[in-house]
Amino acid sequence: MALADEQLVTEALGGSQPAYRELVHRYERPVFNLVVRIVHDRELAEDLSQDAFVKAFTRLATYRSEQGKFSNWLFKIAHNTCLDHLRRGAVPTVSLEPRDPSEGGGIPAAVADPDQPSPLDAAVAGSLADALAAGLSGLRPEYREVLVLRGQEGLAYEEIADITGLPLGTVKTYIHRGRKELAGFLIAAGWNPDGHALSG
Amino acid sequence: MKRRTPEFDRWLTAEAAGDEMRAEAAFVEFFARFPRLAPAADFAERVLAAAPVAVRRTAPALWGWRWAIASALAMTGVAAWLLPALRWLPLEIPRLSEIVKTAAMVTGALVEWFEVGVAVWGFLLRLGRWVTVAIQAPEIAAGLAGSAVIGAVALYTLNHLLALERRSWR
Repeated sequence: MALADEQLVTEALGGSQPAYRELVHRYERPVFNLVVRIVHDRELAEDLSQDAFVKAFTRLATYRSEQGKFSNWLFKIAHNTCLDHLRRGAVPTVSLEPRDPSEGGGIPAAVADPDQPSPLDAAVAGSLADALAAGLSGLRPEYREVLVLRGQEGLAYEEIADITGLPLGTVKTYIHRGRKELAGFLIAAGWNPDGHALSG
Repeated sequence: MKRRTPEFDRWLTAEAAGDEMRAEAAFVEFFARFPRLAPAADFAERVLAAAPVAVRRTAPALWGWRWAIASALAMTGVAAWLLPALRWLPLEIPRLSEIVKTAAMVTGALVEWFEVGVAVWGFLLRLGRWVTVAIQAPEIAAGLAGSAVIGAVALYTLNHLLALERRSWR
């Protein structure tokens, strides 16, 4: 049976390297997925994700399970690491995903997690994933981040607000607008089920 | 033809209808199936290599302690097992009466040493009390204060004279 995050943290603080390794294995994909959606550059995302883990391990003793889940604490560190990088503006980010839906997808086909279970048919998943990735790439980074936290990590609005440091109302607004923009992009790309136009 | 999924259709239909709650629920359901992006295979190794020294080294240190304790326990077990064999070794084992006699001598020496220490501390205590009583007497206190004032005036005068002397050299 897999150990709970809190137990792993306790063991890691006791000096267990396997516990550190397990924490990395457990959260490398969610953290990297979030970071790459924010900065939109694969190599940079790996560096920033690595920084986030190192920061988390350095201050692991300050983590308190009463204040929230370990994953959220880690997401918060990853978010702040990305924010620091974007504020510095040292390295311009390069999009790997073409904005034009007719060009097809960029990131997903090449780097999507092969172990990720999906009930979708491979061909459908591939083309939809590409279209969705292309749509996401056209959104503002803050929209992408809240959509990933909400949609892929399944977090509540309050948790997203805590991670991003945004007011709850702003989180709701970002999710609403991001979702609308994404839907608009997919409809424009020919994915509209019944030929509806978007309301609002 | 572009093939879709039911969740995807529900999401876009709800968005088109302006049904916020259904759109949100369908979007989350659909997006959850969207594969996460994964880092390179050696990502974990790179993280652990870049982690602080404390993270990398505490584990071997802990293992070192564990090995030391385990070895000590194992050696104790072996020694206990070999203990009866000491009877056949040509060693002179002291008698109990000799051990008791030596212990009594050591205890006596320790008591004497302690007695001397207590005597010294008693003398220092008495000395402290005499000084305290003397200082509390008004005559002696006045004398000490007078001495302090005289000393301060003497130091000031000496300093003044030295300053005059230095100026005369220039």
